Amino acid sequence: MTDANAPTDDTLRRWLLQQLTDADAQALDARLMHDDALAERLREAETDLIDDAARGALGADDAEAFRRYRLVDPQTRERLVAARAFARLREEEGGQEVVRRPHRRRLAWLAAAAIAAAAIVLPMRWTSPPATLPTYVLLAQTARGAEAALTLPAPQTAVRLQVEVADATRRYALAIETNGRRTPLARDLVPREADGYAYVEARVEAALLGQGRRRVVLIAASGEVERDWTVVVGAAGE
Amino acid sequence: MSRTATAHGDAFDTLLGALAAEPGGGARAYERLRERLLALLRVYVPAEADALADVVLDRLARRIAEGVAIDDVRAYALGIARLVVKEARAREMRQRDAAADPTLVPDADDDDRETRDAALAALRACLAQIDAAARALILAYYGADGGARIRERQRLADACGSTLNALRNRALRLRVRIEECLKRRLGDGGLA
Repeated sequence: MTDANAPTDDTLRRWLLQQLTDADAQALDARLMHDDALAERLREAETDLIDDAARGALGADDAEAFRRYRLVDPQTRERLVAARAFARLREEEGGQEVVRRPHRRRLAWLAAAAIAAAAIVLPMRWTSPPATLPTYVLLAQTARGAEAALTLPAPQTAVRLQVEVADATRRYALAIETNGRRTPLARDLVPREADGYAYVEARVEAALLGQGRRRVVLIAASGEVERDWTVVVGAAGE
Repeated sequence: MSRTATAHGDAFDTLLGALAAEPGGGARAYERLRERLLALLRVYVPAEADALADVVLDRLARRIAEGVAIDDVRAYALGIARLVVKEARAREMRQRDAAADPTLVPDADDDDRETRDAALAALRACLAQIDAAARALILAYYGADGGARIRERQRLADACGSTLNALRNRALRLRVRIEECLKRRLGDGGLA
């Protein structure tokens, strides 16, 4: 079998999440028995899947499949704890050494705060390195009722949302509503503070964000909706 | 080389004999076959993969010892593995029914803040034990998201003058080492 026939990373992920057809899964089963490299790629796909789960970066269907098929394994649960530690380290310092530039992230928030009065939604695109995500800042005064719908370009893969919160001592969850149906984006978010502003941050997959009119909902630990924003994703003229 | 729990004596030796023509000889081929079975079983029944790999090898050895003619040992082992997966899933369904609990799958977010803080501290300690280059590599290799992941890894491979496959193997080894260190520091049962 040539490399051109090698399964993609996405196929390997769907194999792990039991989302392939029986025929496709059986073809991979057979290939695995004879392909030296496939087991290593599969191990990597599993690691990446666990990392994405740890970051809250799985779509709703994948997250459910992950819970159903992968987390039954104690070893996977152990690896998830490790992956969460990696994710936190990456957020706090680690991945920023190479992949991210912390000062730019901070600047993104500070820039948003500085021009808050005029802000609707602020796309902060880092020019390099390529691993960074476009970051959008949702400010309190742009919440629903205060402004018209916010506009976001349709993302290629994912976006990072920074959302202003009222109380830095509380924990928060984020959800997105489409036609009244609410989908969790992230939970147990611990606010950060920058120059008097408190905010939480979450990565949102493009698949979850979709296109069209949505409602981003900020939910306090008590379960009450603290604030919400109406956004239009993939608006004309983006 | 580890033998399966029950594939002893003649059956085990016969299995090694059937694998003897493979590169590296029977013992090496046996280990590779077990590794592949483990990888396969981890896809479908990760919690039982280790034990079920031994079940597959045990059944395979017995078939060979019984005189069953097997042209392709790996393909035959795959057939047994598929059967074993079906059995395991049926068993799992029965257990779930018996427990009358459709939510046996643990919550992905059930570890608390204290556990997370401990894990982060342990990770920092584990990373401090490896050299700076290895630390930078593992953070960068597993640091990117989504579509950027592949580009970032290719960029790293180019920067290291390495192939993507070689870099993947190195990163995976480092990751395993770090995760084992983390597990030790948090203590048995401290992660799950």
